[in-house]
Amino acid sequence: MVSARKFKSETTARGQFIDGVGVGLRAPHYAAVLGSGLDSGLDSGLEANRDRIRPITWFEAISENYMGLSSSAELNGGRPLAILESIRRNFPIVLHGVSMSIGSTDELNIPYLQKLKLLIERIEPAWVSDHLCWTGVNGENLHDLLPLPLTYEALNWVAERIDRVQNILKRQLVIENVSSYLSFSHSEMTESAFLAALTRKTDCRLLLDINNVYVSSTNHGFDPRQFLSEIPRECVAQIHLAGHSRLKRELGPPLLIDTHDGPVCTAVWQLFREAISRLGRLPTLIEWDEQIPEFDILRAEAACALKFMEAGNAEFEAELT
Amino acid sequence: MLNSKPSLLELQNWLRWVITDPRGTDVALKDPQPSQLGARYQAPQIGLEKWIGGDGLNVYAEGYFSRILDVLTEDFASTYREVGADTFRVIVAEYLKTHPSSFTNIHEAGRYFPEFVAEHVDFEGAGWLADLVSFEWKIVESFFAKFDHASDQSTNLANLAGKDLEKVKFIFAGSLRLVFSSYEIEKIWKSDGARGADKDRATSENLKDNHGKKKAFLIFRNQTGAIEIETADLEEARLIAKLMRGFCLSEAVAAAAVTAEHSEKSFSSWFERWLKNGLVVGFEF
Repeated sequence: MVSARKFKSETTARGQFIDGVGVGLRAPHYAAVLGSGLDSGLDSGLEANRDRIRPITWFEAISENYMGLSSSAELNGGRPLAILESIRRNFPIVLHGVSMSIGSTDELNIPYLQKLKLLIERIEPAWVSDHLCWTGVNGENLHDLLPLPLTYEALNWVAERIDRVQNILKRQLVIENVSSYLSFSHSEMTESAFLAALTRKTDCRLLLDINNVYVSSTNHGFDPRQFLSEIPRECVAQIHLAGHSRLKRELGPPLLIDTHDGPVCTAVWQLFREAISRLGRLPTLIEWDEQIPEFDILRAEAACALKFMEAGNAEFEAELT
Repeated sequence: MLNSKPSLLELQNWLRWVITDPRGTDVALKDPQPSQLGARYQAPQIGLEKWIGGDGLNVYAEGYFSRILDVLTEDFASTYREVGADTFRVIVAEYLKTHPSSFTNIHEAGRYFPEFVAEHVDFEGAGWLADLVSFEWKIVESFFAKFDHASDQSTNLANLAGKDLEKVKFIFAGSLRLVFSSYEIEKIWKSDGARGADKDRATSENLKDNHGKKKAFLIFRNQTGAIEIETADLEEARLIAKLMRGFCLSEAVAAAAVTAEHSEKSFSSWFERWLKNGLVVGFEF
């Protein structure tokens, strides 16, 4: 197994410094981000918008939205890619994938990875992330982030695949914990222990989704603070925050669903603050994918995130001294 | 019945089966080897649910179907409007039985939807619908195709004057798609409320009559990237089709059977349109 450690310096040598709060880049907000640039050559007005979109300072783009259709081996990302390139010329970007299917027992999707590599070369993101999950098997894509059993078999399988992907992409991967709605009775470790082991085995980094920790902890009855305490702080590259919904059931408490269709709830804000007080200030991103609001609503969420981040970081620094 | 703990492969195959069973997870678990469904919907293992905790299987099953349904509803919005929500939902469920997605981009899940609708027994004789669904897929293809930034090729074309124009090959914009139809397909498409018409107004039935003569449409993205749809002369579209296949101009004219009635004036107006709309992005000799 070839360690990806050698790629670490390359990951941070792209001239991008990401700090503070970003938001997930979604098509309804292109106009707000690009201003007049959207219809006049795609580039004008971006500088002026930097101040207008504060406190947002960076964006996370869903990789697959900019990779075109599979019928072409070229990176034909269409108009979305042209827009992303315009935004990248003025703002830091990270790429976030939903279809790497790193936990699938299928062969790695090499054409997908080759196209992702082309996208990475074009956009030069600060980092590239995907999820600790599988999205399909037997050549089918279920277009969902399906959980893995927390077994040594799965750990070794995923670690080997992350290592291969890091060598193909020539950079570290950042792996996100997912929300889950079922568990496996043959699991052999906690999710946080699984993630920590994965970083040790592969040198990948973590995208800690605080909402997913909260959703899964509620659905499966574990302590989210214990989860946070088991995450190696030096491995966390980024934090996600999002809204969730509650699905009422005939028996038992509601099931929480990671719907990204509303504001971050109070409990998740509190958990975020605790995460920052333990891990220190980290680039944090607001995700909002359904019932997407006006861009100003996202800016307000970003401002709230910054407030909790600063409060948590003050506690973190006080702890250090 | 599997008593030892399942391998990752067994678990994933079983979950794929139960999540994608069109009858729903409860029925699938009660009747794991249904005689009325093909091999794709037979449980690969029996009793594996005992290794699953929580009752979230339904969440994944409903998410699987609704996520793809939402995307197909968006990408085939006019087809959806014309057949109605209930029929569309049934058709998508049937489509997924034979064409489960294998693509990383969920918008590609509809790649085989036009053929499926065209061959569906419920739509026999509805040629307009087959053309409409195909038309909408071409728009999806155009949207995701390579975006060629505008560049004026007029000078390049003028520079060809002294050369052998007949041997020139045209390079067209990556987003250009051609559609041929004997129906007023773009009018049906445009009658969607989202495109400016009354949303509740039923599409005029006479638009669905076969008018006997094929029309051609050019689908492409304009210089700001927005999708444009223009009608074209049949001969013009045939010529473009041949040129797009790599024929040089003289070969394309012959192969497209462009008739003598198309004077030089037609050619020059076609060329002018191609250049003006950025449809031609370069030339080769």
